[in-house]
Amino acid sequence: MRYAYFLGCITPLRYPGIEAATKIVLKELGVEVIELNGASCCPAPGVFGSFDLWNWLILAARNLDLAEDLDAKIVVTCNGCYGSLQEAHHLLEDVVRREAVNEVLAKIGRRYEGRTEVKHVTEVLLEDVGAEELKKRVKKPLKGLKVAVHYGCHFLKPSKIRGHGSPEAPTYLDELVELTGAESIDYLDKLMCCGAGGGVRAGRLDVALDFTLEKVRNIKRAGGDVIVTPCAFCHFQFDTGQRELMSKGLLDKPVPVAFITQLIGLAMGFSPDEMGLNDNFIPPKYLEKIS
Amino acid sequence: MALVDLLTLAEEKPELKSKVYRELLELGLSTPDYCYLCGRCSGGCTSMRLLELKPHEIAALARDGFIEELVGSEIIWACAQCLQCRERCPQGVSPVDIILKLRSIAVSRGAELPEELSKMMMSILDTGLIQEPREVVGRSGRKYTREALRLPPAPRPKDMAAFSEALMSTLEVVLGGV
Ligand code: SF4
Ligand code: SF4
Repeated sequence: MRYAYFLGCITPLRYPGIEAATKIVLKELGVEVIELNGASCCPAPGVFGSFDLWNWLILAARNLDLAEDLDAKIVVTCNGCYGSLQEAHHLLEDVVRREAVNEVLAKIGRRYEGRTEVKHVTEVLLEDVGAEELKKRVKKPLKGLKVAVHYGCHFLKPSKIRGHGSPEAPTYLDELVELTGAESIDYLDKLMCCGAGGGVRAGRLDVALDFTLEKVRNIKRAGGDVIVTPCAFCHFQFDTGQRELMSKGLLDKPVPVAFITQLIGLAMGFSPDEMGLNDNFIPPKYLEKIS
Repeated sequence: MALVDLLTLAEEKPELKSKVYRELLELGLSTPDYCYLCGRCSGGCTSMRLLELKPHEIAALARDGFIEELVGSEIIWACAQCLQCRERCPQGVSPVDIILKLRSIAVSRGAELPEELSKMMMSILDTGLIQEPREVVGRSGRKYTREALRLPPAPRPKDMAAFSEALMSTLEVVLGGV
């Protein structure tokens, strides 16, 4: 189990706590994680895809090639990176497309052969480490904690490429969360988008925040203590977005946010500081409930 | 002006339409010709809840050749790229990819990208990453930097200048064709 950690932009630059937690948890579970030096933005599907899909593919191919050079698979902690890189990998299985991309990569001395694989960190946890082993490693079960899972759109779709079961009624992450002893709750419009994707956050912040507010309201109504996501960008939208909503006077009590590996690390006995949980804007109030 | 109003002024542009079709086919997607207006895409569209985006309308308008009108419409910037339309379409049409194509035509025409979006894009071409690192000051006044979390300095690609140049050259080919 050897993975090159593709950090992307949001994780290392805005929420380094996600990176810290992921590295600590994977190491503890015996997964070898190496740095993917020289990686660029995945590139962000909404930003770069809007500009030119062909260049989006070439940028992604360079990142895939960096991992290929290391003979490693890629692990990601952001649905945007997951979407871009996995989709690019898929598109580049086609030899004609790959050769066209390689013509450009040749100008910087690179060539991608299609030999890496792109995995989300939750896949590494559930499929490489396994549910049985994870359960054994839980030292501090998060009993009584009500978790509102937010999947994020690109985690599930296109389902033919992602392969996490039904995108309309998924259970993949709920099962992972419940291994920690916490309860994964149901709430209205659970699969609704956080609102940030497609460049909407960048282009029309008010609209993106409307989505976030609606989700947060539904989560509060269902009694969620914490929002757990597998995506650094959704994490960013919920954490920073709720702060923005508060400063506009649109939200009174926010719901704290945790990345999936931060939650698992907590259950494995690591401290909130080690897991970077205080790195979020919204104070992790739920900790009182489990200490 | 609403899209439907624009239609009365529309003029078909077959070259533009075939360009969009060609690029969708290159991505392995069905062309809008396969759309039979079932509306499954719009039924699940994230942006239709708050805005007026209707992916089935986009597919139908593209099929009927109203590319110019779509390119000039603000509605194409409302898509959250949730991929629901692509997932749900029984015909393999992907309205979201049609929208991305329309956006890139708009950009190549010098249409103004939303400001934050173009900043991010320039940042990627410049430094490889979307933005600069920030310093987080926690509620206790402690700084949550990468160092405090015992992480190495934020990584940066080193060959970005040469790479951007290579990308730009293909861009000219791409943009020149519109
Ligand atoms: S990807 Fe865009 S058009 Fe398609 S369903 Fe989502 S928001 Fe609507
Ligand atoms: S789901 Fe597909 S076939 Fe149905 S209206 Fe949308 S694009 Fe057309």
